[in-house]
Amino acid sequence: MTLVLFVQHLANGLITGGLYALVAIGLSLIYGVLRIINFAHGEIFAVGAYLGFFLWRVLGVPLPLAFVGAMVGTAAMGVVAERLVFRPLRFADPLNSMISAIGLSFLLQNLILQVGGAEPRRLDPFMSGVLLVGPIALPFQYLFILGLAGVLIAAIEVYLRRAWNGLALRASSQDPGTAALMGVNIDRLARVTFAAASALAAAAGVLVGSVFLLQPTMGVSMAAKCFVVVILGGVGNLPGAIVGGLVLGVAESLAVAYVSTALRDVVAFVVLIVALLFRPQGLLRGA
Amino acid sequence: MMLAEGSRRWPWLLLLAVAVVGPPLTGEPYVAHLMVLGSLSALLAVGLNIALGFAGLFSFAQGAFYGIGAYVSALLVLSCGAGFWTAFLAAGVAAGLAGLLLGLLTIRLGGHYLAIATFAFQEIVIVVIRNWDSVTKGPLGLSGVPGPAPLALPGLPPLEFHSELAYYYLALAVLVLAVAVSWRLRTSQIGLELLAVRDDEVAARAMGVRAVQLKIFAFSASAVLAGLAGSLFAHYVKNVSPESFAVATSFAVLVSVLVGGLGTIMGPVLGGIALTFLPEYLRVFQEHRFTIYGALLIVVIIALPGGVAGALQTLARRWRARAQAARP
Repeated sequence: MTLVLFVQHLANGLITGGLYALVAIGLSLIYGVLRIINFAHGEIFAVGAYLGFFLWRVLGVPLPLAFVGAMVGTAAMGVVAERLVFRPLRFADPLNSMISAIGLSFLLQNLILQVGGAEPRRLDPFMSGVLLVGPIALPFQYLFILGLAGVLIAAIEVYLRRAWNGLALRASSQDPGTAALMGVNIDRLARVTFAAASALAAAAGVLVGSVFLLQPTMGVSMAAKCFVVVILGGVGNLPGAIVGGLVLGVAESLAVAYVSTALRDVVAFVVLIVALLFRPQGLLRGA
Repeated sequence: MMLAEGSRRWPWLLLLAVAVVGPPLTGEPYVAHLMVLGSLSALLAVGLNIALGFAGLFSFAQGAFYGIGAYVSALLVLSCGAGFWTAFLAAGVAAGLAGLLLGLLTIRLGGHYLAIATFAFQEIVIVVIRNWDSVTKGPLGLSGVPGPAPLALPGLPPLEFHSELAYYYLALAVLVLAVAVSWRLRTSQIGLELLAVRDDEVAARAMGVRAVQLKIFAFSASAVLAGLAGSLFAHYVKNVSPESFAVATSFAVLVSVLVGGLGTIMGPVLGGIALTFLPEYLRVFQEHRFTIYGALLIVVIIALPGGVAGALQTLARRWRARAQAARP
């Protein structure tokens, strides 16, 4: 019986972990390519979620379309944010762009509160029904999320390894100066990076909204957890972000199940402190 | 740098005079009330300035230290029957120790990692306060915290702290002391070493600066001031609950330091007071407060990286240069 429960918790943890990974990849990408710590990434995730909710509930757009619409809309917002908030500070002290990002995050969070309201909202699940693997119940929605997250992550990986833009991204993350000499347009790269990262975060947002709740503070806790994931996996390391996300998701799920529900958010922070103390370069070797 | 020469000290003494006589002249207790809160914000900002402005250490934890000071002070008075002044000093010490701990935990971290670690520390402290029901009474917090007992100084009638104005003078005194310490620190050997660590830690260490000890000291110092502010807060509003010390407070302190002028002496003070009074004038926009803070922060960091005080300093310098050039 307990083994079954354990596997159930494990499965739940992997689902949340996959979502964390989705958001963390974007964060890692932005840092890896642009050397910007985007403190506002959690709020971009939240904006994506609320945008999806708005498209679906208020405008009556069918759910799959709302999902895509949320990704596109949030990507656009990410590009605007890059232009207004980060580009002016590209050559300034990195502290300044960090502070600017913090300002953006509070601006967005409050905007969500004003426009979206304080009560939690909920998106309908994409799918209903449960898959029974022996005694373990896996809702189809969870599997769908995991599958979709996997597809998006694979797409990003392919993009980075094959497409010209992807190569440019990787080159810039290794050496921005030389990449520029080789003809990489940093402005366009910045736009693409922010667009991709924001789209991924929005996807995660809509998916989270379909199984959990939408709340104005969802961005804050997600941001914190993403930073943990990125640090666990190594900054700029995309496979690391995936592993880190899954690890965090499982750790949270087990801690909540076996210790106390109050620990849900604290787990991330404790893991963070431990990781920073003992292995700040991340869990996986290499970039 | 500000306050360096006697001839430049008069604007600040004037400011102090205004601060002392201004509120009673208006005859409104509400002004004094706002000035109390403004002084506490300024105190928090001066503290953060030591860590961030002088040492370049990004700290999201001022809210947590504020809370630690408030709770320690309140608990000492409520549960142990201690006097205000003992509790006040103990709050500073307790917060300072927490700052020491944070410094020790983050000693190998720089820049972004440090910021995230201090954020984590802030969150953990608040979660602990929120959940340690037996001691902190959880989310409801502690109420019925008594104000300071009258202070009897030799040769003077006992000083009472019941009115807003009296409490304001108490807070102002602590603030002035903190600013004086901050200024003395900035112009001292330790201050120069902190600045060196901020600008280039590797080079500083190569010159023999003990960066590790200094960074820990900077965190502790910023925490001590926050703890003292917390004690003042607890005995003024007479109840403490975790939400007053959450990350939003850390953020507000950050905004006030940056808008006021990072690294300057008076910048944080101006920032702290301005950010307390601003919501009063923008009362219509009260609920959009954080949107405005966010936008303000972005605009200031792009256009005015030195904050208001920095801009004033640049203007003063240009005016002086022009005046000198005009002389034959």
